[in-house]
This record gives sequence, structure tokens and C-alpha cells, in this order.
Amino acid sequence: MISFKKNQIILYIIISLWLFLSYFKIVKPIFLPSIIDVLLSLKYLLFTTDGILNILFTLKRTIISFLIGAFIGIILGLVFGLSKKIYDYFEGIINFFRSIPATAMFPLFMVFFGFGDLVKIMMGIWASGFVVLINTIQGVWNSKKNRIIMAKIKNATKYQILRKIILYETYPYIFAGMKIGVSWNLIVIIVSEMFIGGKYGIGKFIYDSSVMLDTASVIAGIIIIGTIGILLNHFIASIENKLIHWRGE
Amino acid sequence: MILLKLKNISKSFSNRKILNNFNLTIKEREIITIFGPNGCGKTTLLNIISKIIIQDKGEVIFNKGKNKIGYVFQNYRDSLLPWKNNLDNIAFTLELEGIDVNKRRLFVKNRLNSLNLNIPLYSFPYQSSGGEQQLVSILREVLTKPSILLMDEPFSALNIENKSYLKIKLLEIKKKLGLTIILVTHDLSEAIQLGDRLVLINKKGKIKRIFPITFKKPRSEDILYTKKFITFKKRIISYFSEMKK
Repeated sequence: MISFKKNQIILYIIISLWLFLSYFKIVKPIFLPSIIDVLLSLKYLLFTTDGILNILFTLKRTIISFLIGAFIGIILGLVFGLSKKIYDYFEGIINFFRSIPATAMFPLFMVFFGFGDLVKIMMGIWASGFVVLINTIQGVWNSKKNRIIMAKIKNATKYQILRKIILYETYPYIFAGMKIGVSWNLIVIIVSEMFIGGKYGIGKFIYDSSVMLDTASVIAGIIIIGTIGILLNHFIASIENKLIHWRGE
Repeated sequence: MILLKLKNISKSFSNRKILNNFNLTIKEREIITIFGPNGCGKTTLLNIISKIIIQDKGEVIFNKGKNKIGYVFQNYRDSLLPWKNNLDNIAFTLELEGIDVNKRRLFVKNRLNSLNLNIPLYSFPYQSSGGEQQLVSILREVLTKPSILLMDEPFSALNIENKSYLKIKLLEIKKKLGLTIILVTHDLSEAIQLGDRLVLINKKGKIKRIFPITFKKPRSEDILYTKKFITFKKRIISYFSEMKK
């Protein structure tokens, strides 16, 4: 509660400073538009069909690509985590591609997947999938040995050990990966919308607004992205808290 | 009746002999306590019996059909399943055996009633005290009546109060369920209080001597302060000091 109030204080200071600077035109509107202009842009994004479609398209791409990326990341993470032999084959490739910024893959992805929604979604899958993959592998590796030994002594099958122990052990790691992954996912989707375009998308809206020197809309777009990011993170965190309540945190 | 024979067990790690021609016969319903210096192979012995590791030489021979093992680890936090409440943790052995959830919960509750044990069954490990957690991990191992219960310093991570309580409970449970126990410890008083025989191992992983313990049962904490107990303990300590020279 206290930290929330502190957050509010900082927010109020920023808004007051913003009001002060824009009202007295200390900073040019092209650099710092008035709050009213930004609110009008927000109104456009939130209450007009085109505005809402921009948000919905970004959300759709983010959620679809995140779900697919997380799913692939979890499955492959479990496979690599459980089998050192398989991981050894892929270790070099994983380390190579995880070092490459997702945005550097744009040109190649455009060659493979064209200029439509598919390429944006594939970029999102790439961005979130790797984070979840690496975290899931770590989760499997960090499973408490005693728990596995305990189950083995009781003649548990490999499947039972996976389903009843290792999977639970990886949950905290998977969720940590998903929270980072969803942020990466959103970033890559926004950037791909800016670069590749399309009819709708917050990234495209921001890019078009910046070309028109409409800084108020750019800021409104940024506020929407930030809000989407916070909401997605909260959503994942709320599932995490329900599923991993036993951590006692 | 003999339950388990350990014949000429040897085990080395990185050319260092941990166990050296270890021979021991364990009778049904007895408590063997294993005592020795650090690194003398006490835990290795339990791991060999439970097949966690394979010995280089020798044989582990169980009496026919009596090789169901329970294993209590020193670090109960790492062996309990934090995502299950205490009831389901205790019932985990039955879960692995494919017993229906309601049946296994009922079984556990009935067994706990018969043992007069009061445990916060619906609490999760993180909501339970260290003593409760270790009791849960012991119960998980014993309620299905294993042929032998292996205990690796089960009380060493607990405070004195919990330790005393659990030792007494263990003896009660052992008596009611008729368990056979091998208990590894570096606490000599504990080894004497709980054991029927105390096996002294030297640093080279060899049995130096087996002490039969004939104190009357049940053995409460009060026994630790009796003259007889202290004299017996001193005898083992002097033997142990001689052995280390």
C-alpha cells in the first residue's frame, strides 16, 4: 500500500511537471504536447473503431504469438532439460540464436513469412519462445534431487516423476520466463508493426503518428503499450500466484 | 528373522575407498544405528541399500519379497513436495501406487488416528514447523509399512524440542508398525537412545565394532541423564577416540 502511494506521488510529480512545461510552452509542443492533446489521442484509441482495432490487432498478435511461443518453449525446455543427450546436440544452436536480438531476424523472417500478420506472429513466437525455453531448461535442471530420488526409491515411473515432481519444480521458472517473455513479445510485435506496417496495430499507429509529427498520438500509443504490458504481466502473475501459492511468498 | 544381509560391500569414489568390505546382518524389527566420523560412508551405505548408487563389490540381499524401502532424508525441505498439503504428502507413496485419491486420504487419516498423531493435515509444508515437516516426511515413508526404513541423520536439522519429540514419536511408530530401521547419525546419544545395536564405522568405511544396546524400552529423554547411559556412552567415546588414533 505504501509503495503504491509512492508510485502515485512520482506520477503526480511527472504530470504536474508536464502540465507546467506544456502550459507555459517552455518546451515546444512537438517535443512535449499538452496533456489535453494526449488525452484526445487516447480517446481516439479507446473509443473509435479504428483506435480499438489498432489495440485489438496488437493484442491479438501478442497473445497468439506468446501462447504459441510459451507452449513451444515449455515443451522443448522439458525435452532438453530432461535429456542431456538431446540438449548436447542443440546447445550450440540454442546459445547462438539466443544471443541474437530478435529484431535482427526481421529481414530473414520477412523473406520466409512475407509481410502480413504471420511474420509478426512468428517474430513474437521467436522472442518469447526462447526466454521460456531457457527458463524451463533451468527449472528442470534445478529440480531438487532428493525429491526425484525419493520417488525413484518408491519405484515411480519416469512419467510419474515428470508429471508429479519435475513439472511442479519448473513452474516458478516457467512463470518467470513467461513474464519476461510476454514483455519481449510485446516489444517485438510493436517493432514489427512499425517496420512491416499493415492496416492496424499500435506500432503502426505510433509510427504513422511520428511521421506526421503528432507527438501527442505517439505518447498516447506508448501509454497504451505500457498499459497492455502491465495488464499482461498482472494476468500472468495472478495465474502464477494461484498455481504456485505453495511457495509461501 | 533376518531381513537384510550386506555382504562384502565396497564402494570407492575417485579412487577413495568409502566403504570397505562391509558386512552386516539386519534382523526384522530392530533398529541399527550407524555411527562414525564424517566421510566414513554412512550415507553411501544407505544409498547402496536403496539402490540410489551401485556398490563396486558385494551384495545386498533382502529376505524374499521384503525389499520395500522407506527413506527419510536429513533435509526434509528438499524431499517434501511443497505443492502438496501435509495429507497428500503423506499419501504420496500411495499416489504413486495408483490408489484413488479419496481412498488414500482415508487410509492416511485412519492410520494417523491409530497412531494418535495430530498433524495439521491441510497445511502446506511452508505453513508447518520444521518438526512437523520432518514428521510428515517420516510418515510418508512409514505408513505403507516398508520392509526397512533408512534414515539419514533425520533429526540433525531440528531444534532440541522438535528432536526430542520426534525421537519419541519414531519409537512409538516403530513399535506400533513393527518397523525395521537403519539410522545414520553423528549424535552418539541419539544413536544409543534409539538403537538396538550400534555399528561403529571407522574412517576407512570398515565396521570397527558392533555394540548391542540393552537399555529398557521405551527410552524417554530421561535415559540420557542416567549413570548407566553416560557410562555406556563414555565407553563408546573412548573406543571411538582409540579408533581415530
